[in-house]
Amino acid sequence: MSGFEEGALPVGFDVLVRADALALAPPDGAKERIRQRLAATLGLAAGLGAAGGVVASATATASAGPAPAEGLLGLGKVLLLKKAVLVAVAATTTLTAGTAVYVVRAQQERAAARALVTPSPPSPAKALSVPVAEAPQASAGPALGEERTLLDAARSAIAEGRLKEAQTLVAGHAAAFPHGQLVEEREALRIRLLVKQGQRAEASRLGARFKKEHPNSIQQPGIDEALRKPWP
Amino acid sequence: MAEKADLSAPDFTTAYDTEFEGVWLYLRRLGVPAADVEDAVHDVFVVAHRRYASYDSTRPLGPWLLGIAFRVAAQWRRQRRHEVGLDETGRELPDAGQGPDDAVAALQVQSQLQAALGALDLPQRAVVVMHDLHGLSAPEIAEELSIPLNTVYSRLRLGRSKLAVALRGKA
Repeated sequence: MSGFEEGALPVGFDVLVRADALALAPPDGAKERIRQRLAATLGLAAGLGAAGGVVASATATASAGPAPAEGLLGLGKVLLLKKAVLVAVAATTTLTAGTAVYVVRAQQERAAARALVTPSPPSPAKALSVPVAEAPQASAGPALGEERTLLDAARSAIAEGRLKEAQTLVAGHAAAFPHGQLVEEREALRIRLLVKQGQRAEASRLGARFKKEHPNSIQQPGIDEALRKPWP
Repeated sequence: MAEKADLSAPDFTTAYDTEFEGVWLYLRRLGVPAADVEDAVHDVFVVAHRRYASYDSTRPLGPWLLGIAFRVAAQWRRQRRHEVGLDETGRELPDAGQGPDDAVAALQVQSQLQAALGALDLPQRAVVVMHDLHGLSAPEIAEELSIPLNTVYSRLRLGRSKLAVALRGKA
């Protein structure tokens, strides 16, 4: 290629940019997949409506989550989990096979996807997910991926009625990330879990405390809705 | 949705719909691989959602999101530097074990521009991609990356030079 000047764009650069955009364009379905994950992560009941006006429900998304346990969890698989997550869960109670398989499977799926794109051998010590950089105004710590993995698993467990498992995961998140980025999401899940468990007084108490501590939280409408539901 | 400082800001759904592809492309152009980019896009919008109440709608939304995406990509590169082959400055290392056939295959799945961008360190790459591929102005880049305007111009000039050399080498 010729026609370069120092500091200037090369001739034909616009053609390269168009080709680049085509080569790197998101695949079909990626936008909707991420939309649904966002709705679940952020606990939005109506915050990220799908294209065409369909509202993505966090509960619906969670219920479409991973399948229940498929077998016992081997020690080798456990060792794949990142230390923070293991400490978080181990600090509270025994991790059930179903939840552990979920977390491990999520990592394995990502490793497999990565292997399809990058022919290098997979590393057993890869992080669970992409961490987030520090932001200048609101810090986004490097552990956001781990936080998200735990709370996604907890949300799925609640949706599928595995309440003890959900309790373990929520408590594990609290132990590992007491001041994490997804504290509001965790507390909202804790309240929904208490509602499911029929612990009305405690759910209401935590709901009132949440409202006081996070008066403008995006989680508040979902919490209000959960507390309004008929009690089991 | 939390209360917004300015009600003229687009709602978050609209922001996602309009800016999704730009964020995706920007992350890919900063070197986040296809296998990880969905997580990275997700994390960008999680951070954006948290900060959306304080978003100043007099500023354009796209550059603001790319500023967040830059930090997500930078964190990803720090965490994965040894896995994906980056040197200390964030440039992509040539694969010493890659044979001629592998190299051809790699080029087939990587655009010419993407391969050339790998020769830039991350700060220069971020500025060049924002300015020359996503159409941001230098003052917008300075604001979103929290760097002086002269630094933007300097990185742009140096980055373009390196890019030109890299493209020339691949032509």
